[in-house]
Amino acid sequence: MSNKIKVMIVDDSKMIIKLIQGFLETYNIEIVGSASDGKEAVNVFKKTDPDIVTLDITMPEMDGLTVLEEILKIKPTVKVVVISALTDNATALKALKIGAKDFIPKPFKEEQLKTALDRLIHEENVHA
Amino acid sequence: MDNDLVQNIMIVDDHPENLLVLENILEAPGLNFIRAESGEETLRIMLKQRDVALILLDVQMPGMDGFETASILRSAPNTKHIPIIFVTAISKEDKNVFKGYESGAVDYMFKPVDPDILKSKVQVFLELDRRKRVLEDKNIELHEAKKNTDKILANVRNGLFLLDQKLDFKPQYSAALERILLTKNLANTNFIDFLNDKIPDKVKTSCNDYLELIFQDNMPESTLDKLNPLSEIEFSFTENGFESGIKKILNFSFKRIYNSDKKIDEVIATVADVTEKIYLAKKLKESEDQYKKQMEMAFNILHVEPALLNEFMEGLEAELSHIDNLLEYTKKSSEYAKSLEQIFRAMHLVKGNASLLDLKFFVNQAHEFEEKIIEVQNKKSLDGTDFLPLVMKLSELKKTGSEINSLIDRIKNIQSHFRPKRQYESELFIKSIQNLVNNTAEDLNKKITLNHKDFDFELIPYNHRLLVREILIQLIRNAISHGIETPDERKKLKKKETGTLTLSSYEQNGCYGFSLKDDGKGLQIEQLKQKAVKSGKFKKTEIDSWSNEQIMNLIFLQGISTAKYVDQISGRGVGMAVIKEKIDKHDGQIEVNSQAGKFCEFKITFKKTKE
Repeated sequence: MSNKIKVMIVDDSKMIIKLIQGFLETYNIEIVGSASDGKEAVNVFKKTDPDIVTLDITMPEMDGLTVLEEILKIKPTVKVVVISALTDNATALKALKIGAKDFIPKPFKEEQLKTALDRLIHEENVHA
Repeated sequence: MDNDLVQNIMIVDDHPENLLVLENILEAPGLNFIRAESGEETLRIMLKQRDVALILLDVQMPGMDGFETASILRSAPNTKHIPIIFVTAISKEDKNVFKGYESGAVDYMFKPVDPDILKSKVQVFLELDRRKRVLEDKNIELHEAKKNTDKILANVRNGLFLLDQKLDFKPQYSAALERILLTKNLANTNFIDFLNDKIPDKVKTSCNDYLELIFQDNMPESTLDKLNPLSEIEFSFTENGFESGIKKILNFSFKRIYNSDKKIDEVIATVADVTEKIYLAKKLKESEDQYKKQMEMAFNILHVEPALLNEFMEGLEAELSHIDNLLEYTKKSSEYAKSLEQIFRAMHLVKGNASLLDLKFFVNQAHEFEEKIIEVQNKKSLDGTDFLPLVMKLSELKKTGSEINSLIDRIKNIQSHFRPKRQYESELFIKSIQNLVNNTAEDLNKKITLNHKDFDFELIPYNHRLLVREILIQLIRNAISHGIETPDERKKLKKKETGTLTLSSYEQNGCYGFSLKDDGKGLQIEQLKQKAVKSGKFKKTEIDSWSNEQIMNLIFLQGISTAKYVDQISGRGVGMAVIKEKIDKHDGQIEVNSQAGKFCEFKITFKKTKE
């Protein structure tokens, strides 16, 4: 496939965004955008039309679950990996129920993120 | 044809050549012929031979004939189902003799035998036998399997159960499950309903979400494993809707079971009662902490000079019983505030002494007590119950006190070997003061040397030694926390980075005295003024008319202190007031002298007492 997978990163910590960007630098994907609050996330999502989103579910402005619902409305095929502190399992479960594809507990390692992305990329329909 | 399957055919005829003919006609792989030449022989063989697929039985035989043999075979449970084909020379017209035999299990052939008809009849019976045997094997296997699972389900200590898509319990579950879940007849009841009122609603909702997701095969099981909401969760069990008081910590785990279409149609779950384990771990931690505390205490105590320790323990007892009295006899709400202040002072003193002896664990506990008092003081209105936390805390301190006493007893023998002689008391006193200076300076990131060359411990009468020590503790702490600047500040002020505390003693006119002087920033006159006004005890106009000396004396008043923040070392504005009170009580005098940016000195004078 000629087109690279488009990934967007949402996290209220700019440091985590940088960290994830760093992790994925050598990866065969394109980071099309990032956002550090919910409202921004939906706006950036509309503009960049990513295939995969990594989403922190505890954020100011609009919480992660609402963002998840919004972007799934805009593009039902988008694959969302939820990232959250392990202390908030209930929210993580809700996110998976709403339609997130995977969950990574914070703090996470590079490997965990890559494993999750690999799985999503190799699932069919990423480009649908 | 199944290679493993060997089928036995019994052929009976009193003429051996007929047996040969039959064998020749029927010969086929997987067939085994058992021959008999009479009814009696047939029965004898059949006693031992079990799996015979078919018997070809000649009717006309000398002795026991075919019919007689058949009727005996039919009456025995082991042989009654074996099909029999009668081979006879009687006429077709007489075939009604075969009536009375169950159809299906019996047939007949007329002599001379038509090979094709015989073969096809035998084939039918053999096929029936084959099917029967396959079925039997399967039944045995199933039976064994069921027996195994039953055995497992009856004996496992964990609850083992299956949930279907509706999250209902499937009928087969381990015997332990009902015991662990304290619920009978779980089959076909709903798991989520079972959770009702036993765990918080939020956890129940998560559990519902989690189990719904576990049935979705696109969700990685490894992801879900991390999110299991029912790991080590406390369940409270109800009885007829009322809490029964039974609480258990249960640990559930869930695994998908895929059917042959790779779909998840059930989930296998295990549950273990981990109450004891968790409880034990907690207990273990408590006793470890206790042990650690005791070790620390023992270590601390071993390093304290016994005479000092005894003094400390006596002082402790006195102060604690003082607090006890205050807690017990403060009944009028108008006295609450005053009592709290007194309790605070007593505890502050204990803390000071403990700090002097470097009994860190005790300093911490006393500090916690002080925090509790402040908490109570900060309440808008007080009633008697507000004192309860203090009573609790006090009993903790008493417990620590008695632990120290028993520790002292236990280590007395060891310690007596290196117990210092009395002439070293002066040395030890200086050493303990030096320790206090070092520790306090380190805690506050300051550099300080103690100059004590003009201090003579022997000048202090024996019965004043504890008092002098208490006063010095407070003065030293104040000097280090409020007086002497940090090395950086001192550098900027062109002072030596290391501050100096000078301790000296003197005697004159039947009095003795001592002084502590620091080369720090001196008393903060302006701050003292502000504090005094803020305390509401003085009017600004009144204070403005005062001399510096008068203002300096404000530091001996309760509620005025210049420390910026409260720490464990000083700064709650009671230290100096307590000291002043003590000195007054012993007919002593305290003077303060200070110059801004240069020094602050306290001079304490007592009349010499007779020992």
